[in-house]
Amino acid sequence: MGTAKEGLVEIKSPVRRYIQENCFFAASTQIGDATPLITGGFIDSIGMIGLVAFIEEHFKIEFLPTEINAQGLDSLDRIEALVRHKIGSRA
Amino acid sequence: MKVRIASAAYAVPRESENVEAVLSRERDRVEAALASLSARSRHKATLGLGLERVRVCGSRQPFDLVLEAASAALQEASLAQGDLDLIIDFSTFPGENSHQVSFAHKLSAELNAETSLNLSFKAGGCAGLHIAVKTAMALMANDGKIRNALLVTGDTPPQGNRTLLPVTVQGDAGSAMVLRQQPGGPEILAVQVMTLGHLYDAICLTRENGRLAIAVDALRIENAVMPIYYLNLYRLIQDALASASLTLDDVDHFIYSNISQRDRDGFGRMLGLSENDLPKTPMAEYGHTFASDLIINYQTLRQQGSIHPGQLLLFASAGIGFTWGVTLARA
Repeated sequence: MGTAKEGLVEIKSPVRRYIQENCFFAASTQIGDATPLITGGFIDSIGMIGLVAFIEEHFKIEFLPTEINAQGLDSLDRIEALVRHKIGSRA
Repeated sequence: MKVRIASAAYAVPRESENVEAVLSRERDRVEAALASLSARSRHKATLGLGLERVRVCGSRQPFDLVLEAASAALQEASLAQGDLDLIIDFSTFPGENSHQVSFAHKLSAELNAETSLNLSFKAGGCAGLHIAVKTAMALMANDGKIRNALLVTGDTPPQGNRTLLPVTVQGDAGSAMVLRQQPGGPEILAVQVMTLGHLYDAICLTRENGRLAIAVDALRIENAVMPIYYLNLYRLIQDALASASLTLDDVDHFIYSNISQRDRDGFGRMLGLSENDLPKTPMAEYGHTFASDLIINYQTLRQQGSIHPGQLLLFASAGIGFTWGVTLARA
């Protein structure tokens, strides 16, 4: 699971690292917090499988089918918000 | 309770049309559908379809195809017409002249299956077969009198609506599958289905100037459907396998729909399959025939003698609804 930082689980860094290491189109690109990952073409529909699996495993959360959509996962900012919400609702 | 696929059959019209000719004839529709996409996405929309011709209803309409397929399936299963306890019609686009009549009810009369329970539902698209199988199994489990079920679909688009780009080009077909509880035929081990209602209008039947039309929201497909298309399919496959204590390595035959070659390639990449793991299908000749694809591809494997006793079959598809489905069966 992510490292604690100021009492919060670090979310963006491991996800950013995963994307840069596993998504071909993102390998040589600087991924900003607001960079559109899906609608920007960095993650394709096959890449979504790995990304969601990584997030679920790394942060020990489980998405419902209705929670997974391009809007909620389209940037590191949005992924962080979604993961924090999931972690919060788990507590 | 063990339910088996006793038999299956399909029928296609004799008439066919070149896909290039269809795209040319429906150019205005294609351009309108793709107008909301980026230039790059518009270009990609017509690449890698892998469809050369489509069969088109001429003298015979979808019900005629369904009747032919149903008759062949009943014959193969050695079922007398009066032995049918349940008929489910899961056609998505049954045709402009037949949408007020359920094929299930009409078949019940035509086949003299007077006491069969008849049921019809729409909007499962390519994944309608899984919903039909699951519904039949649920009814069989609930009612001991229902032992033999006939599942049918027959689809043809409204006139001038054969192109569903950026997804596919539709060909016409009818197909049938018989399920029963007696021995003989692949045993169904698991059926997993899911729908996401908010995507109901990504591809849907509508009316334009008073005529039936299929509306394709290309931008919604690109931004809302495709990002989760393989993900949901993958998850259902894993759920189906896990429920039967099996893994992907146990699957001998992947039976997937004929939406396009690039979609079949995507399915293969999703599962890490090699080129030979996903067999060639008649898609170039038939086009995408909605839920009939799975039965066509299953029958093709059977006719080739590729399916042997004990082998594991995995049927998977996704389509209008939006619907995803997986059926697992042991030959």
